[in-house]
Amino acid sequence: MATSSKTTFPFSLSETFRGGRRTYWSAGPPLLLVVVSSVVAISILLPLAYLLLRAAGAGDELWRLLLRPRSAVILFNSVALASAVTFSTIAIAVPLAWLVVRSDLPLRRLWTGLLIVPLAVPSYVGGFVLIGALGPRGMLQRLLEPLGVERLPEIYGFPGAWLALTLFTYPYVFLVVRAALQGMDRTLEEASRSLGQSGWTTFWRVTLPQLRPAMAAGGLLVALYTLSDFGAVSLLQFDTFTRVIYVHYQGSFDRHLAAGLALVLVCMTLLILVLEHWSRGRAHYHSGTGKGARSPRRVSLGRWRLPAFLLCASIVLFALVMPALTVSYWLLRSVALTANFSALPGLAWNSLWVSAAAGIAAVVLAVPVAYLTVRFPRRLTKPFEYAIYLGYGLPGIVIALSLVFFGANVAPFIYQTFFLLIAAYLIRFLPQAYGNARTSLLQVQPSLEEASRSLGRSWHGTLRTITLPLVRGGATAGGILVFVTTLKELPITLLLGPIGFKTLATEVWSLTAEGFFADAAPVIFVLLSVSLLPTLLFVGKEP
Amino acid sequence: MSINLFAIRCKNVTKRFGSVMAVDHVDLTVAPGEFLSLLGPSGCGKTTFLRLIAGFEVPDTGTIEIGDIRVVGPKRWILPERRRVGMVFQDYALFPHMTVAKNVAYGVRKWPDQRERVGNALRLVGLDSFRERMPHELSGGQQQRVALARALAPEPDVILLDEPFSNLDVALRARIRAETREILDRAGATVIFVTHDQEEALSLADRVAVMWDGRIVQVGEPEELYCNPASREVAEFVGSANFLSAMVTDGHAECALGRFAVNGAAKHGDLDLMFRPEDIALTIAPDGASRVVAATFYGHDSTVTIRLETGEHIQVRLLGAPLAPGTRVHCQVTAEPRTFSRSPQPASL
Repeated sequence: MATSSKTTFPFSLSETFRGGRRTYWSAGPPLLLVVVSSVVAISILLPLAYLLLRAAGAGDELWRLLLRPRSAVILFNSVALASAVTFSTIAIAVPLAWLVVRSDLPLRRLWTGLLIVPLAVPSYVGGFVLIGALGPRGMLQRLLEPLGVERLPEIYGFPGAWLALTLFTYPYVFLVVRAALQGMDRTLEEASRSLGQSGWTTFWRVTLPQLRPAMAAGGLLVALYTLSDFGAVSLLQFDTFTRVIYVHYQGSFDRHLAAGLALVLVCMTLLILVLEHWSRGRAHYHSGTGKGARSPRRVSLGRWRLPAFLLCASIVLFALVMPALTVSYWLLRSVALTANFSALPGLAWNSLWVSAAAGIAAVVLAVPVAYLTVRFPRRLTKPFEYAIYLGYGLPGIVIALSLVFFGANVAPFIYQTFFLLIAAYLIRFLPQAYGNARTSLLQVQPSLEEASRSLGRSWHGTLRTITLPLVRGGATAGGILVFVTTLKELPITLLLGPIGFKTLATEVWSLTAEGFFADAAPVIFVLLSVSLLPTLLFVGKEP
Repeated sequence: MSINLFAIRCKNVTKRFGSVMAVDHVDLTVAPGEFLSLLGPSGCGKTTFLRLIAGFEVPDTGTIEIGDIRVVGPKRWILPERRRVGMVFQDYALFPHMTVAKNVAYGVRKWPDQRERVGNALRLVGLDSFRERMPHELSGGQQQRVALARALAPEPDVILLDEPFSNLDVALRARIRAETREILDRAGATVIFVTHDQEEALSLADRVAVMWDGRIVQVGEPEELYCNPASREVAEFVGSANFLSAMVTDGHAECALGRFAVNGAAKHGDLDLMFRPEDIALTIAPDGASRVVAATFYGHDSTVTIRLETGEHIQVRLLGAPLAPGTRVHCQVTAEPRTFSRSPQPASL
């Protein structure tokens, strides 16, 4: 029976040992994958290494600049802002997450949605909202003028930056803590109750300690976001590292100092990552497997219902209603002032095409690297993964600055080109595409690929017919995520955009910085319309 | 028409993972049309050995021939997709984005008779009416049969099955096992079948190869393996076994259950005698020197643990209900015991 098909079997059966060994993965990864991954890793590391070299080259001069009292002020400002924002977001987000997951608060699903939306607001729009609403010539001031209010409390500086970043980053903590609460093993709480502890004691001694890793993870995201934020602090004129780096870069008289400050910022970022890693390593928490999936017993709020409602409502008021009102207010004013909207299509086009290019390039590069790290021994592929995740921890302004140095001094032929701009986006956002590609590849059992091989398909045929179709969804999601984050990106575009290249993001920032709120509002409107939908699609997946 | 004396011949195949010898100098020959079961505890290297034949791992040494083609040897490596080896994976590995028919057609794509082959394969496993279903819409048993049909469609010379029944409910297993054997017989394929379940191996296979620590310690027909195990490990792994120490004098071994003639090497000295639990008959005797100390009831049979005069314990299988602990019994051996040397020696062929 088996002999009849031999003639139809469409391959030659003689293949040398060498030829086969190369193309089958048990004998080592295909060369192409290693080459692509190496190019990606080197492209990420090279500019940073160059920044390091240049800063080191400045030597004593750099130390003199860094050790000025002014540097201490910048350091203090940055640390103070990062800590304040981290603590306030945790303080807001933990009760909110508990309310929507574990209490009998009415309309929990609606609240959950409304509380997540502010994630879509970029920090420079947050800056616009605070200045445009609460600033000296802002919405509130104008509305209150007839009542004789001459001056509102100062919004510029620390209070504004703190408020803006808290209002638009707490959803990070909210999402992580909510997920932890949903996955928590309920039997632990039940054990505590059965041991005679009250609900309140149980919350403090069992529930909250279990949430610690989630709070740390969410807090880490917020701290890193705050340290790397440029939009809000620059508009609200609070001198943290990113703002000072930009000012020094713009002044262009002292780029060594910018490089030095950038390195200090990198060190702080690393320090936070190490601290988080250390705090997480000390205890092992297991989210409930199966048991936790039971729908949790809801705690009746009783007379706490009204305060709970007010808490949710006030957060939504400040983080969602106020931005919407402020943008609408200035949008109406701009229409009333018969503003000129002719620049909008060009700005939108610029934003869309660079973001789309970044999104597509991210997928094309992330999938091969993910394939390599998922299918081949970790000890060989770990460096590639580290290189990719490095960009995630680095502030955009540091990446931009290192590429400015690198482009201007080493590779002038790519300086001021879109190639370098998109490369910078990729260094920053490739981890998002990589993470998605990796997750979906992990779900493709190796036995599927082996089954395809044993059914006569080559490794690239297997890739084409089995692996890629199965990861397409996840990889596309990663690409869209990169698209949306690139759309909203500010400091990299400011520093690396070719001369005269403006996007929606840079236009919002410069108009707001100059106080043209009515001109900025339509641009914000377009930006948020384009980015809101895809952002909302992904908040469910992205912690 | 095949005139080979073997469908698969492995010589001196070795595979090492770091310091672990996963497959240790294995020689194995499988005849055309034979159904061979590779039996061993988990981690003994049997799956690795299967993957070496399929071409998913590269052996460190040795040669593997499939049909008249040497697929692995010095300076020779045939890609897995060119080996004409069908594989049924433990998790079935059905392509989740393809229908049943597309899954089965995958290995015969662009063949002139693709449609017939897919139809034949699906009819063979009795799933012709499930062509347009997606894999996740099928039960575990149906998925297993689709995997089988997919592997059979290109009519490979050899079919490898890696624990194909371990993901099925115990209640389903016996039926699906028998069906699978029937399907494979009708397809006329040579089969190597990996399992850790001795009952599965003994009941399905023409021959069983027992693997232990990366080595094949015994190959034989199921009855031979059970009645004549080559080592203590095989005896204990294939069925359960009682070992009693014995003293040999004048070609007879004396143990707690009596005196037995021993053929072969040792005429004097210490030996271990092996009795299967069903080879011992019990009679209730108030003056008996042995006593029931524990009993487990399984339904159609039961197992009792007996403490012998010497203090040794043995397991005895009874039909029906067990005897109550404390019952005094007399033991009668009904089959000839196997002898093993006292100190367990490393198993070898």
